[in-house]
Amino acid sequence: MANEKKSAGSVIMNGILTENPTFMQLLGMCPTLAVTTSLQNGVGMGLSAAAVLVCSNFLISLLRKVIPDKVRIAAYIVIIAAFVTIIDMSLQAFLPDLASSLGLFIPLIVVNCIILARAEAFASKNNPFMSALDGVGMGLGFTGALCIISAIREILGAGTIWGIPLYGGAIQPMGIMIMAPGGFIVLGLLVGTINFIVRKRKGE
Amino acid sequence: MVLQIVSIMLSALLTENFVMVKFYGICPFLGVSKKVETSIGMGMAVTFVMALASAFTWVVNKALLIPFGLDYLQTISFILIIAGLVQFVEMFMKKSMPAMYNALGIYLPLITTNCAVLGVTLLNVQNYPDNFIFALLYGIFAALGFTLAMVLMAGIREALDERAVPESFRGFPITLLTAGLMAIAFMGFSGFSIGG
Amino acid sequence: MKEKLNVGELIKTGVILFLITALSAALLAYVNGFTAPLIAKNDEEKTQDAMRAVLPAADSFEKLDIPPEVAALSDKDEITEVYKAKDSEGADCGVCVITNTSGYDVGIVTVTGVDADMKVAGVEITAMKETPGLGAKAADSSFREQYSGKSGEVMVSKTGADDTHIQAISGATKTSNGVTRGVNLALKTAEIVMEGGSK
Repeated sequence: MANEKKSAGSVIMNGILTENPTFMQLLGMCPTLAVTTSLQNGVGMGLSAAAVLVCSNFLISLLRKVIPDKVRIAAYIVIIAAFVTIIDMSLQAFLPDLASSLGLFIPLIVVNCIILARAEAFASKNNPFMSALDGVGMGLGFTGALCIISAIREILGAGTIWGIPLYGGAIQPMGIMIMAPGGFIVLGLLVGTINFIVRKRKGE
Repeated sequence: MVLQIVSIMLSALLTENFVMVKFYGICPFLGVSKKVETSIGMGMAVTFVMALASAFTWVVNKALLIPFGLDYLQTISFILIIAGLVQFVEMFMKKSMPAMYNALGIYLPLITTNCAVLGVTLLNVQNYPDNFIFALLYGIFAALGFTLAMVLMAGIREALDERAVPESFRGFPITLLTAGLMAIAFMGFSGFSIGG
Repeated sequence: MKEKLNVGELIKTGVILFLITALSAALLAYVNGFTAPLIAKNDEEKTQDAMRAVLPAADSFEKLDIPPEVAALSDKDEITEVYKAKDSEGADCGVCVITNTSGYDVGIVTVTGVDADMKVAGVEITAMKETPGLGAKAADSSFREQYSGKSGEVMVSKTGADDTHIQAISGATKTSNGVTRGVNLALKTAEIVMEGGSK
């Protein structure tokens, strides 16, 4: 029992830190760059993807012995697309503002590499409980990464955080940070910095 | 009409470049842009799939989903169509262009999960639900815009390989920073305006 | 590969894949059953709120069929909905026009309120995909309020606002033009609708 608890915890931590989907595996780059113009968007996108990830991991793991090997990818995609559409419709119904600011990137969660990668690499080989936990870990890892990127971009690019003005108009924010180039540059610097830290820890 | 077509083509190619401005298809853009040659191959494969996907999904949407009030099945049916098309292109390439098939390797099946492809089909039904020609053109030129960005990036990366980039920034980080500078250049196109 | 595949296995594979797809579709139909009305209600409320904001004098709005003269104005820019506004006593007090124009991207949905004197009473933007920090500033009240009180044809100026010009958002002339085209279409529509009403 104690043994299982430990591994459950480690499955979650694995997603958040060691195999962080964004910073370590560099998966799911499109939403990572596109929606991180404000912290609200980052959190919304992260949690939506996490919800899909948990549900799809659970169901795919449950059906892993039923799904024929030859068509497994197609089956995974159908399952993922179904959950994504449910999330999409629910957001439009209950959080219309968030839905309209995330726009097309909600249906595009279907093709987020993280979700298909976890289905193939984890859910197809592990039990439903562990797979759901893996979904929680990866989902939180993704959400966390989006929060960091979007907080940096919102503070620098719009001078606000969670929509609250920070420096009262005293400083003109760098608009470019919330435009396309800012996304590439912030992520590039972050990944480089993380590489640097990881190397320092391993090396010296 | 002609003006509008030119405007769709130029905006899909430059001002609204899928990779540099709209952030669709970043994964293959970062993954396959190491060599100019493979970038062109990947770009062509994506263009082919995207043109077919634009046509197929437009017809399915217009003829099946809309008349039966099933537009909530758009995402799920479009991704199935795309997955099928990619399978087809893969079989075709394996037979008739084995060299290209080997070069593109694992990235070919990944076109399915290239969000540029699903993205363009969803944008088409949003923007051009009643105009097949516009939808098809938008699909083709968005894919060419994707190819353009990727080939440009590959050209830079080939030269970048020989430079002394700090160890921690080799690979993805420097590629992202380069992409950032390219995106600034692409912003220059935003002044373009055709027919107001 | 294909020769080894026996028919039974092929059918089984097909049936399982079909079942998964069918179940997914059924599940979506079920969820859609209760989210669709909510989504429609959200959209409707958003339009109503926007119309109340642009024509505060109005109490209720009556949706009109778009007259052919108005429909003829639609080109690349489109007039999507026209409402006649009534005040609390039931008298006509203006027209609300919803337009769909393009700026830097397609899909700027503008709600323009035109009062009985044929002047712009207010402008709201309910949907757009313009660049955050540039074109998206069109949603700021400081930009939208420039239209209030204008009539005839509004023009865009890069240097400064006056009676007939509004000041463009710096760096986002295309967005400014897009919104202005929507407002101008609304003014023309209002002219047609109100003349028709007085006849």
